[in-house]
Amino acid sequence: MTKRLLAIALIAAMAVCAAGTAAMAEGGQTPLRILWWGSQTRHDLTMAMLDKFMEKYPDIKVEPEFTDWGGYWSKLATQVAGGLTPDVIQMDHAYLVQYAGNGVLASLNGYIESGAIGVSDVDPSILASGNVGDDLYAVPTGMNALVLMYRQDILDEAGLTLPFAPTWGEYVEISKQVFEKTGRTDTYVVGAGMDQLRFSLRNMGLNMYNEEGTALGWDDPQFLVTNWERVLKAQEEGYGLGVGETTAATAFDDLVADSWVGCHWTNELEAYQNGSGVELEMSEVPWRDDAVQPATFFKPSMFWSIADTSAVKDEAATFINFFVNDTDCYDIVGTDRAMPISAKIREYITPNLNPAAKKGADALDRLSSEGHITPVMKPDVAAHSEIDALLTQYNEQVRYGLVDDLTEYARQFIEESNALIAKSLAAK
Amino acid sequence: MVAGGVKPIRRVLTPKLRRAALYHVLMASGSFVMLYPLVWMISSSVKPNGDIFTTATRLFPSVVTGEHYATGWRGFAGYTFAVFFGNSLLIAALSMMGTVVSSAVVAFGFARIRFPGRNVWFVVMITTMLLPSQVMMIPRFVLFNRMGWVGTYLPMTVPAFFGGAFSIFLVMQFIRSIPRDMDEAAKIDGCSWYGIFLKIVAPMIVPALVTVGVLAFIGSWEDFMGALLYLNKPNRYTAAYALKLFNDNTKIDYGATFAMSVLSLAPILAVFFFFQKNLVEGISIQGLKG
Amino acid sequence: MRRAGNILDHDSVAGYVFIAPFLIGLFAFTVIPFFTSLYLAFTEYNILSPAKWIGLDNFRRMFFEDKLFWTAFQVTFKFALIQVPVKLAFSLLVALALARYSKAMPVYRAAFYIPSLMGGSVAVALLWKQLFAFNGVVNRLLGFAGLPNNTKWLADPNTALGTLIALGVWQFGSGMLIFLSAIKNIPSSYHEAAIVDGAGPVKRFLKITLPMLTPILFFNLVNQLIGSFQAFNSSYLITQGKPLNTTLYYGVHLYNRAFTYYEMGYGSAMAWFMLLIIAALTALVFRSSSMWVYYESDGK
Repeated sequence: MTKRLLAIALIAAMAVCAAGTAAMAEGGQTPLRILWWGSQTRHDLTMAMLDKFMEKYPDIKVEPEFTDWGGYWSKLATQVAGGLTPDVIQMDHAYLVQYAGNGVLASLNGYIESGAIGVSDVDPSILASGNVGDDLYAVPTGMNALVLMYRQDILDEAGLTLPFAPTWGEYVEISKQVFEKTGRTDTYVVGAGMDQLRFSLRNMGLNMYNEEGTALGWDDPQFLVTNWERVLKAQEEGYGLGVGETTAATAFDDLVADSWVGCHWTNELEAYQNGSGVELEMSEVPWRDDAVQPATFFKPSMFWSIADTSAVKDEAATFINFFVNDTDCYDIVGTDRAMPISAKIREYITPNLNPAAKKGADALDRLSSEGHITPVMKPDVAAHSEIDALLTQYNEQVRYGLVDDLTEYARQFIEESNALIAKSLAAK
Repeated sequence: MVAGGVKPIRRVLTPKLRRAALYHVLMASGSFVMLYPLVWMISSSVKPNGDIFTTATRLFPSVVTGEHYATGWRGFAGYTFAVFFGNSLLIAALSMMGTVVSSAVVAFGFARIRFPGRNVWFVVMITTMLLPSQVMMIPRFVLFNRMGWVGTYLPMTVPAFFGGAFSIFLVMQFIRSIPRDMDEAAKIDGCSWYGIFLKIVAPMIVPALVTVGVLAFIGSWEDFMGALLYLNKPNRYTAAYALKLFNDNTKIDYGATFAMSVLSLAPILAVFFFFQKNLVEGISIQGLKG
Repeated sequence: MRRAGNILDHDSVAGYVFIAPFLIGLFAFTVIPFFTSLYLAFTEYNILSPAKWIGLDNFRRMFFEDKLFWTAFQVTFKFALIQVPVKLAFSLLVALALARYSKAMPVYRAAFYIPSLMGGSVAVALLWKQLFAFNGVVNRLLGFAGLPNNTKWLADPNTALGTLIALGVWQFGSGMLIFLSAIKNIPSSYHEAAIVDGAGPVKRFLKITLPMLTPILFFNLVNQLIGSFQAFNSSYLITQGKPLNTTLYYGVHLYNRAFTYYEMGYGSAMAWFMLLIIAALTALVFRSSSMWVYYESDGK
């Protein structure tokens, strides 16, 4: 018995070893490792797109690796630590400064200048969202905007309409009436998170962080106080969902179980419609009543970057160029990585979009044509994710009614955030 | 008849039967509470996407669909879940074998033989259990990378053949509850430590080894981190890893995740039933000896 | 008598032969990473660039600057203090109930084991949120029973940790499995002899079953103690430390620092501090074991 077990174990172990050594690339092709995160749709589309890419560039043999979102940043960091950084890396806005700042990513300036990555059809301000300092480290895969997604059926029931660009005053009034007429609460009005703060700053022409990235770009505690007061009022009067009264387990069923509205990126419309099973409409995020300028911005949904250690940077650039400019690529991937950055490609794919993607594209068009888009935001400071988490903590305290002096508390947040930025800069 | 039904039943049921009935009622209702999540998951896996959360508290779906099983099974990069399940089976079976053999051998050494340094090594072993795995991940990856093992199943299987602290300690506890009479008798008959291990102790710890084996199998089957860090090629992905690949930061295909999670439970349940059968057999062998 | 000539059979040699697999594994796969993480505890290491030696800075920051560190520390102690005994009692009781013979037994055992098979999956996290939602199944059942049904289980600072502990207790399966095999391992002749002596079920439990189970009880205690202090999944998947950090496990705080903010040096320092704490507690349990753990092989 034991002997037989041992024999099986040995044979199996040998099979495992054999599988391990069969990893060499076949004859003459340059291997190009690409790592991305996504869901099944993206994995399917990307694999098909890579087949097309290899068909057009037969000298390159792509070695794809993909993960879920949650595991991606552990895997990528571990690979960097082990000296196994992939050649082409899908990058996110929140991590760009960190990866570029630590020398993991290659500067792409040379490839832009030489035209290896063609950007003649790309709006320079959009491309600049991949800049860190003076260098371009990441090419956006597509553009998005943060909007409200809401249920017209609920508004119809209450006999209300939400303007495309509501002010907070208008919005809160509608939220109240929805509650009075249908009993439905609102989870957006009690959000008060980073996005609401950022939009209200942008309405006043300010940025979350200053130009140099050395501190917050604002110092008036009133920005936070206004948001917090709105939350507390909504909670008290009942049209905002009370803290902890959540029934939904995810952001999808939130639109069915607790609320009639949420704040999401345009390219997520399809996911939210599928997940919640209801039809959604889009409007702008509410403006401050005293706004001096629009706040909405196009944000790169994600980026492609090249590893600084890569031995095949030219091939990597070939791939990125293919992704930015080749219609063959978009015949396959469509808007899976959001609205393409090349104007030509946008024109090319628009007629063939599915209804949900079409709605998203229309919203983006409307935002631009009404002139409601302000410049792309700069990449956030490296300490941003920590400041974001800090704000969540502060909001919780406020929502649980544990804070007496909101102004003082807002000051404390500003101070603590600046300290976090200073600390992360000192670490470098 | 109906109205007076209570009395005759009470008369028919002896205290022993009544106790048995109570026992089964308790166990069955306990089982229901424990099984609720499984039923919920199965039911969610056949609900259309829009219904999964909107009708979450309803156990019986109003519309039944097999689409999640179809899309889920399709898998990724042209490899269906059949491939991923196969990979997981190979890895879990190897880990199980490695754990069983190595923990039996090492535990016997620690539990039965007095040798210099025994206590020190035992403390070292327990200490290795105490460090959270998260901070070992990167140094381990660097090490396995230097050994050229990244991209293979070796980091996920070979260490099992050298004993995990948890399994060794568990088997030790079993060995220590076996009286020494028999080893001592065998020693007097000229039997070596190796003979005692193979002929006397090993057969007596079969239930412990089965338990350790089952736990090792399940642990390996559910290991997501190992696959995330060490596997690169889609055709090598395991089921636990593939299950997560339905998750983007915003788009999560819950239907497919649930459907494949349900399927992924089947092999571990099979192992569990196998375990039960062997547990009973283990006893009967001992019964014969005792 | 033992053959004196066979050197391999000397206690000091045979001992090392038997534990050789462990020693090889230890030196091949564990020693280097283990001490690397110790080294990293004294460095600033953002994973993306090489580590920089900063001496005791991480520990200073941990003890004196990081408010969440102490919060997480307390949460974890509270969590372990409640979960370990409750879970142990549950797994032992259920194992005892499942140890008898019955046709339905395999089904019951499987039923009681299934929750732990579903482990830290996304499905369980979602289910738990649903069950304990404000308008969820638990509150509805309480409402039917005429009890107060407006508890915000996962959002009330007073109940959130308890709700997560309930999840942990509900997944008592592997402890139960281990108890079950230990119970099955008690020779039936012991019980038969006691019955002949006229011992009732309670007496037999106290005099035979319980003492024979102490080695395994000890194992489960140590194992669950370690597991509770390293707990991660339920908080990470369900509450992310909310509300008001009342469910912020040490393991979650550590993971956030190490992988969300890429402060692996600080994370390693946290891990090593926790190692010392668990080691002290485990040592206490081991010390106490001579008083209550009964080893048949020691012939006490």
